[in-house]
Amino acid sequence: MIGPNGAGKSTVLRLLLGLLDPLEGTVEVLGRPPRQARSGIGYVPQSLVLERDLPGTLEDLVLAGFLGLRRPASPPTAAELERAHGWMERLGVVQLRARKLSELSGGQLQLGLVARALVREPRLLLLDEPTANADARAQGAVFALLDEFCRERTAVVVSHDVGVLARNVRSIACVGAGTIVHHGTREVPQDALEAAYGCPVELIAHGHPHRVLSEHGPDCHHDHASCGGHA
Amino acid sequence: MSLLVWPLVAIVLASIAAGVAGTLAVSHRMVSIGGGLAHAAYGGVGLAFLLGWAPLWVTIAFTLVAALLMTWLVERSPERSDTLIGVVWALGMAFGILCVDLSRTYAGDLNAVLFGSLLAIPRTDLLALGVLDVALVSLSWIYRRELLALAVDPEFAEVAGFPVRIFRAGLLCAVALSVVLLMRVTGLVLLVAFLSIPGALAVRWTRSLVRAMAVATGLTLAFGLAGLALSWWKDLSPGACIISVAGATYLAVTLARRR
Repeated sequence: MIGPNGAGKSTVLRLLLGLLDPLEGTVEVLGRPPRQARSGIGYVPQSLVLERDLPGTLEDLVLAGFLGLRRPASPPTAAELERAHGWMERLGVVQLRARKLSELSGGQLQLGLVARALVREPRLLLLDEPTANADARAQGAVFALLDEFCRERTAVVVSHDVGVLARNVRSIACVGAGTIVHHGTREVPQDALEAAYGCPVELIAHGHPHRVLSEHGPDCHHDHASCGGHA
Repeated sequence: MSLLVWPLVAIVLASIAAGVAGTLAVSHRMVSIGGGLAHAAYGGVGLAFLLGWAPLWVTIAFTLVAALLMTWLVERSPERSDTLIGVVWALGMAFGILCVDLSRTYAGDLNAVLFGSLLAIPRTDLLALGVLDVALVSLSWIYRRELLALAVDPEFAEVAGFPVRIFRAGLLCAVALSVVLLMRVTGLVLLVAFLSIPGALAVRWTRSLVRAMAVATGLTLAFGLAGLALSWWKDLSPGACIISVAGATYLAVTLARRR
């Protein structure tokens, strides 16, 4: 799902998670109201605002993925520990598992959040900018895992970066001005992008398909950062 | 020397409650709520004074109601949470002052509530503090993973189907009970420092919530003993001495860290 800031991408995710209720209509996830479907959903937030010096490690963060799946106060089983270490290893952060959360970089923390969602083995994975803080290698690791995940299950990814999405997903929804202006192929038509962003959009390529907006049109209501960056 | 036995017992028991509840308050961003509750609790003290009832139980009931009211307001109202906490804080104190005014009797004993009376803590309060310590330590140990997960990312906990509201209400009640029972040691005016400083220092130096609680308990005990010694030596108020030692340590550590 792509679209300019304020288009409603994160709101859609929050509706799917049952954190917001729709003003009209109904939301169903995996055939049920969102709050009843939570055991089947994995969620990766855009970022984590941590209380400074919080006394917890990366392993604690990943093991929190089992929350709600087992009875409170029960310790993680050997199988759960193995699964958590397995995901951390595949994301390249297992060697950091004993590191304090406040000592991790934004990218390392983000990979921990992905591992936390994956240990739940969800049927549906919702990710809000999962690679916003990650370097190219970590980005590759995340999307390789997602590719494997999506062979049998579904993931919805919110991102500002069309280039990254176009290479890694099967279908793109472009959201803008409170509506979906495109949903289907992973090649988003130029007019759909322009309708979503309210600005002229120019397609450029340097290595990968990549779109930027050339200049602000008279109807553009977005700040320069959102218009001038990746669509 | 026997005069010092009960204050020492009080300091040991208070260290456990302040160490555990303080670490929870710091890691769950509840320090300002704790400060608000400490002052709102004065309403319970005033009410007990007016009615002539046992202050401990009336204050506990009043503070728990104030804690639940604060949570309800913060969750339901569009106002900023610090504004709401400030309102309940001031309202509780005003109610307490009005109750004392209406009772038209000598209010000298209330100084013990405002500024602490370590040397004259009733035995029932010490017993209640001991029971609270046992409950806090055992529940924090049993639910240590959940408490950390909730501190790290409450939104994820909710999405995962964890009963976040029940846990947060339980946490708030634990902080409220600690506030009431620690009030006699430091006084409500200084209580927020007692609840926050050891916990804030402990989370810096540890990687697990349980270790942070243990370190915070040790720190509170050290501050308490040093403050008591200072108060004994210079004939000063014990509560203020304890907080001065804790505050000076916190500032020294913070300044050393910034270098």
